[in-house]
Amino acid sequence: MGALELKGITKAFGTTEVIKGVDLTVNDGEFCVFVGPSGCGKSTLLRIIAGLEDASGGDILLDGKRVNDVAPAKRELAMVFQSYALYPHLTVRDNMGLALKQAGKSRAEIAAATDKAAAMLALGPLMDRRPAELSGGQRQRVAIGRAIVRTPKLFLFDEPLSNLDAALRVATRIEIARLHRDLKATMIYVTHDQVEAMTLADRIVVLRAGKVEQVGTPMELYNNPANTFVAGFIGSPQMNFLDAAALGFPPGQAGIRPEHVAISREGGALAGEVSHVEKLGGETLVYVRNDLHGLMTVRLFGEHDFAVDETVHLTPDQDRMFYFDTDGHRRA
Amino acid sequence: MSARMSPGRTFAAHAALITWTLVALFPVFVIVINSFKSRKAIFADPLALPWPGNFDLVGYQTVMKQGDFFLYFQNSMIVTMGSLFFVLLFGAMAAFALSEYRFKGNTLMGLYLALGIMIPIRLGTVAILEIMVASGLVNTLTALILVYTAQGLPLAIFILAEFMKSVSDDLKNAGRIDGLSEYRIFFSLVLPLVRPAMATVAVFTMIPIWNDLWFPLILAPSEEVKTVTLGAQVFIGQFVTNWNAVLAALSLAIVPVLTAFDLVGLVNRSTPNLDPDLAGYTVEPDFKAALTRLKPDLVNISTYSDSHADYACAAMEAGAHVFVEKPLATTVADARRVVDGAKANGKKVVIGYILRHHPSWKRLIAEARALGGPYVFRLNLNQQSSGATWEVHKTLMQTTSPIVDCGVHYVDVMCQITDAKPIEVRGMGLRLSNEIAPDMYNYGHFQVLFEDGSVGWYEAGWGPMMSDTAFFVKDVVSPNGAVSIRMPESARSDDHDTHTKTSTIRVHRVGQPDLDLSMADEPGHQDLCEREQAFMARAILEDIDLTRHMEDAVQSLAICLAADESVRSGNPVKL
Ligand SMILES: Nc1ncnc2c1ncn2[C@@H]1O[C@H](COP(=O)(O)OP(=O)(O)O)[C@@H](O)[C@H]1O
Ligand SMILES: [Mg+2]
Repeated sequence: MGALELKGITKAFGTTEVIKGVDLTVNDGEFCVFVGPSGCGKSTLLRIIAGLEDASGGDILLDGKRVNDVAPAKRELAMVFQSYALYPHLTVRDNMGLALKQAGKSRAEIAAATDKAAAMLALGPLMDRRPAELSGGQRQRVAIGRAIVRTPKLFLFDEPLSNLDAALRVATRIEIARLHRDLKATMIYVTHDQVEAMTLADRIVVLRAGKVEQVGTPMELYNNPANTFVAGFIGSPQMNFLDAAALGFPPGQAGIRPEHVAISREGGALAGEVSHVEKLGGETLVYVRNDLHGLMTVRLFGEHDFAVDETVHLTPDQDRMFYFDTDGHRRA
Repeated sequence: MSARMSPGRTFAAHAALITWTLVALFPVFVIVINSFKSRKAIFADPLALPWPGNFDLVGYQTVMKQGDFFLYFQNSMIVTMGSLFFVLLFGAMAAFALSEYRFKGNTLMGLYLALGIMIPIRLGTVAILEIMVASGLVNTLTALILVYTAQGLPLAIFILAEFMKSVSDDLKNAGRIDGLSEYRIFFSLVLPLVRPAMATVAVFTMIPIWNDLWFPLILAPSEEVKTVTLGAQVFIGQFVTNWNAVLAALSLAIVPVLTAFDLVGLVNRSTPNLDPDLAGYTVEPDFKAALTRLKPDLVNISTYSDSHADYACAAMEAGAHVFVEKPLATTVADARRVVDGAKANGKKVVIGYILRHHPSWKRLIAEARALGGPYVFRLNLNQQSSGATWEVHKTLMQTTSPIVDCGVHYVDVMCQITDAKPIEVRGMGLRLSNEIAPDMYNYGHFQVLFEDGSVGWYEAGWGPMMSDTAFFVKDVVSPNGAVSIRMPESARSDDHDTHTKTSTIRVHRVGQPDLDLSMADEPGHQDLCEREQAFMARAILEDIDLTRHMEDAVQSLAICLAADESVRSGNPVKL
């Protein structure tokens, strides 16, 4: 049980409106990712859901009940913070058990719940340490463990991986995905990293400047972006945007993903010079300067040799092109 | 700059720091070495180290004996620790509120508090004093703690708020989600993280409080609540006699109280020669008529003893408070009548036990109590009176014998030294003059026996026949030593100031050298009367409970009357 509904949520700090009317439904058991650039209001929205911040307007419903005036601890949710936010004076065990203790659970219940969570996250040997004696990755696992112990209806994650190094980030990402499968709980996960969003989400909510730009499954967003912002934000490397008029279409932009552009030395639709080449082993990225459309990225599978300043010809896959009007909206 | 400094720079830095440390410590060093030297040696060569030739512990002996330094120290401790506790508690709480919660006027409140850092609290001294007088907190440690808490809060809030802003929001939010109350979040999450800031604030707060002389002097100068810094001033006065500044500040504290009275009228059966200061007043003969016409707030009864009770009761029935000279009455029943009248009319009655306001007598009582009982009290006051003084004495003796008239003072002193109950009185007396009634005696002495074994002797004689030898004995002996008031040989027995001027208190402890406490600059009779008057004013304004005061007066009167009865019957009187 853990369906969430937001109705017309707004939030202003003083006179600056940070959340500008968000309507959203998150289904029970769903893994929903809020993604957007820094400062777009993701954390603020999450804090409003948690009850740490009062909404300036709108309703928050958990399982159909309005919870605007319910204290955070009574909303049956758990939150994992970017900075871990472990209690420095408590051991791992006590960090994990505190919420249950506050809720008046018996010692045996607390022990059972913490041990179970510890087993899930392989925290057994760390249980009697204090946060200061743990590495960053261990701390984040403890923070996740602390959330699990409460068996909440709703998990909230606020950029939980951004303080970890790349390898740990992938490992922890997989762990979180596994947890979601095992616990079947509703999770809302905030990130500015579209890779995390794509790999974890059942559904992605793209936010920009306090507004929802688009909601959909990762593939819906990839294949069907509603506007240039979403099209540019989802997918890596970023989509190429060409001048639609120069290609003979109505004015606006034409988008094509780097993996949907063919490159040839012999001939093609658009000529240009190679300005830079990145070889990643499994794939090769070629940056090509075109006089009309600017810098374009081409993504090739495998190893390829191109020399800088060499003249090449690019051909976008017409079926994969997206057309946007001058306001950035996708043309029907 | 590189993290590692060259050896030259390291040396220079250390040299500078060490030099500064030495400069800062030098005065402390001089104080410490001189404290082990005699007074002469200090002035002969202040920088000489103590050695067997000049070594002297007299300074420490004086401190240990004179003035209750452990009490002063305890007072300073209580005040400093108490203030510190409240500054840190309330300062941290306010800082938390300012840094954590968004509410209307948050910024304004912060600015207002920051303003407090710049405005010295001493500017408000007069207003603070008025508040403390009005709330009856003068001469309490509470007054000091309140003032210091107010003094320390602005800076504490300012510093702590800055530190608290740096405490991670996530941590506090994690606590909220886990169901911790805001108090738990404050006490168990935030406070431990700002501990270094708390320590800084504690030091900043504590030092000025511990060192302060201003507020203890103004708000709590009395013996029981003195702080160390104020207590130390006693010694300054002893040698330098720079009382002017101290007394000026002390007078400030009394001023608002003294202005409380205004003379509305004088009553006397005859027409006495008035002091020039009273020239504008006419003297009325009829007390009842004056009461009805003038409706005074306070009546001062300084008539002969037999009329005290009637006048006091009449005054209270007319709605006035009463100041009555000792003894309260000439019979215990009359004294009770006055006390009951005071309770029934809700009026204040202060009995003129002037010695209670006298610093030397207070000191004698304190020193004697410090020695520990049981006690021998040896007290007398004989007066070789002639002329006008003898006439006054004879009029007094129409109703009251000398041991009753003056004895009440001294019995009161005995009772204040030993808390034990008096159980028996034995008295004897002799009529040494034909100018007094056949059943009156102008010389008498009595002994009082107390429950704890203490024994008291008191002697009083009036008249031209009395001798000037040993006419003034003020001596308390205990198993551990004795405390005495010593008079200069030249003192005259019928001088009014002799009753109240005391010169020197000698404290003698078994096996130790005697300690003379000079009481040179002590108050004269007028000054004491003003203190008594100030006490009267406070009793009325602050509604002080005078039950104990009146009961003490009745008890000392009862003892003296029992002595009179014993003189007349020849038998001891059990109380
Ligand atoms: N307590 C606050 N007071 C004022 N402005 C705030 C506050 N918290 C966040 N903001 C502003 O709201 C906007 C959204 O912040 P946030 O939700 O933290 O963004 P992000 O998407 O990076 O998590 C930012 O412009 C930020 O400056
Ligand atoms: Mg954020």
